[in-house]
Amino acid sequence: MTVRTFYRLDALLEHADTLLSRVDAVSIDIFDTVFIRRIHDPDIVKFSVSRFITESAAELGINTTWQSVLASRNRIEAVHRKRNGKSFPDHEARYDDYMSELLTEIFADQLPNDFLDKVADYELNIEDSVIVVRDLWQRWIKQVAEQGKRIFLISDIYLPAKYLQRLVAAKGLSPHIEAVVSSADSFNAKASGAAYPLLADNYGLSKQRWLHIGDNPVSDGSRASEFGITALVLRDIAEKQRKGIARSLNYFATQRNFWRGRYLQQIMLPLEGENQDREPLYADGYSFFGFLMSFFIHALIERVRELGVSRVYFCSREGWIFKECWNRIAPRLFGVTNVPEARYLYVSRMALANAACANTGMTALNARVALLPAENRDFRDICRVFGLDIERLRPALERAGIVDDDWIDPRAPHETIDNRHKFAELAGDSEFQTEVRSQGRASQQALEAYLEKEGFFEHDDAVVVDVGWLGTIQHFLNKAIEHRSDKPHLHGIVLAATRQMPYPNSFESYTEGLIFDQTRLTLPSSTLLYIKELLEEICRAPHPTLLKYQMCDGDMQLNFRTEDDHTAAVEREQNEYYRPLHEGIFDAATRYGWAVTLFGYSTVQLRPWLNFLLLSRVAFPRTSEVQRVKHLAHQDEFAGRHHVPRRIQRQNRSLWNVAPAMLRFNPFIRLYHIWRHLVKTIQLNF
Amino acid sequence: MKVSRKNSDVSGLEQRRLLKGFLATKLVPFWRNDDSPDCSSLMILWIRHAAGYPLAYLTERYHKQWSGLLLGWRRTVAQFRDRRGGPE
Repeated sequence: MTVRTFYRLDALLEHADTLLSRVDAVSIDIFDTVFIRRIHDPDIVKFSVSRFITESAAELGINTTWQSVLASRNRIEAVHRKRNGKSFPDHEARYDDYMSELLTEIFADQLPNDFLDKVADYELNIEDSVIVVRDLWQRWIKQVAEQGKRIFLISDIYLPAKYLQRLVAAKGLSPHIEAVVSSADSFNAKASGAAYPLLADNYGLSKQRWLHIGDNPVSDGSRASEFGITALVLRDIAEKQRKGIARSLNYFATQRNFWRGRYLQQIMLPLEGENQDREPLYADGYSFFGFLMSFFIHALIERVRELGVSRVYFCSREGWIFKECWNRIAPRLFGVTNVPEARYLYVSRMALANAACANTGMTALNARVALLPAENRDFRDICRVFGLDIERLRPALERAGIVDDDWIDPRAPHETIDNRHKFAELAGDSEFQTEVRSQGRASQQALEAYLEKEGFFEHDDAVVVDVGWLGTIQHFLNKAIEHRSDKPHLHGIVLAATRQMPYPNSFESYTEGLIFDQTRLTLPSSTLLYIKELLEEICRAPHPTLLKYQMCDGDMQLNFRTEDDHTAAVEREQNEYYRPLHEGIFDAATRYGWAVTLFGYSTVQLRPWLNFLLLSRVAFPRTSEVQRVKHLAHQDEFAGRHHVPRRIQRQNRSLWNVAPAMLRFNPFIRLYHIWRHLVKTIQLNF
Repeated sequence: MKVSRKNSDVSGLEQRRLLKGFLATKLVPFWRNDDSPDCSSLMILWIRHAAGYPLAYLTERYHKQWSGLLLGWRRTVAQFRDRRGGPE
């Protein structure tokens, strides 16, 4: 009987439909037929399982490497196959048998209870993350089952049917499948043809009314045909191309770290039913921002493991997106060890600024922070930022000879040196400082009550995560609680640290940037400075900003910005606009977690690709990308309402603020901006 | 728009984009060589994405013929080496 071979799945299923009237049962090969793998080589799964076993062994003080675990696994499996081949038609092995032997060899009498189940669960989770059910198969199987046909899934694999059933159930096929059959249970495989008579006997199948479909020309084609079953073979060309690309990238990745990142993104690709038509913003979120955020979380996880910290706080509002990504990535990457608890902390620069005043008073550094936005220039702005009542400070202002709207901002063109001297005198006025401290005390107490409720003081160390850029939140938080003996060491981790403010870094409290840090300047990651405001808009949580901590009738209350005004309406519209972008980021984060677990890549290995991505997508973006992704309106509660001089606007303008026509028609604009950025960076640092 | 394109490429990271990025790394001073792709891999990847489908079809459809050719070539090379390195 000739075996028909098809090179496209839709063509095969079209032909199979014509045969259905003549068959009662359909058996289908599982892997590379119903399921496809994201990776080109199924053995890659074994690498991460070996790492899992190695980490578990390390927890018990057993010293081994994942390479030797893998080598042992392969050796023991080969022995089992050879032994089984003497008694059965095929050289098959059973997962539970050889893995038990492997684990006993590694752990000896320290083998934990049910550890084989844990390893099997882990391997199945990894396997589940790399396999995708083909959309056409899912629909066809459902349709054929509804016609009353019996459907069997059959595979030559070391996993027994009980494990394959879990994979099949996870993909939603179980209701339509009568049985899942594995060669690992009987050691009779399709390869020798012994599986078919066994299936026929066990399930009472008639070979004349039986259709078998698979991808192997021998096991699924010739052997089935020799037994008398109608057999169809699928040699999917598109799949061959996809796997060829993965194979090439895998090879390149072994030669050069750059390609590891590209390979990772290839494996992260949505396939089959996952690959739906989406809005372009979703694709931006998936292929760029998702990778950026996931890389940051990956670097955060590595840092948290180094520090041995058990509690991570994500600061509102930008920390929201990081916490969402953390929830998707951390359980995968922590593997054997417990995932540190992640909490969302309601903080803001304005709320903390007032609380910090209770300990610090009004320092020159604090004033500098308040005057940093170009829209801020005078003492009124300082009071607004720090939540101070200017009327209660009036006597001190009069003593110093400062008027409310005197320009203290050093950038002001009309600024006189006298104003700064007067402000320095004011800062030295002890009565002024006492009044400032007293105005901060109420919110400091409320902040402490809030942090106690969050368990902030229960740990010796706390990681505080934010998007960046100055580390103001970490600095103010540290200052607000520095009087407490149970204050934890604060490890401030930000996406990018610009270091424009000379906040002291010490053992007690420091800030470091994981993607960009001015102290470890790299040109590629510095391109993040092009899109600071955009990143804040993208990362912002869908709730209003926190204005103040306050006590009300002995209870701590968080005082948020109103949701009724124009600013809130603009923010809501912005959040709705970014919804597909967020979806793309979160989906990418989930796949990133699995992909990194599979390959065991570190951020050092993925950094070259991230650098390239930043250059391509941030420094040399397409005009359409800028127009699509750019924020509609950036809201900064720190910034005042003064007019910003054009000179300062020009200085602060980046490529992403340039007019679309200039972006589209000026071929040198991107090169000009990257050169300008390079010169500015060199000037700042040397 | 789909994230995974028909030729298994990533939307937003297509080969043309990679090539533009590669050129950009050559125009930006002090760019580290490690942070840019190598030309040969880039070209192979491009061919895989652009022409991978017809090439895969040809090798799959005429698998026996290609295998026979490859086997014949290997035998020829082995014989040539034997003649060159064999005893007088």
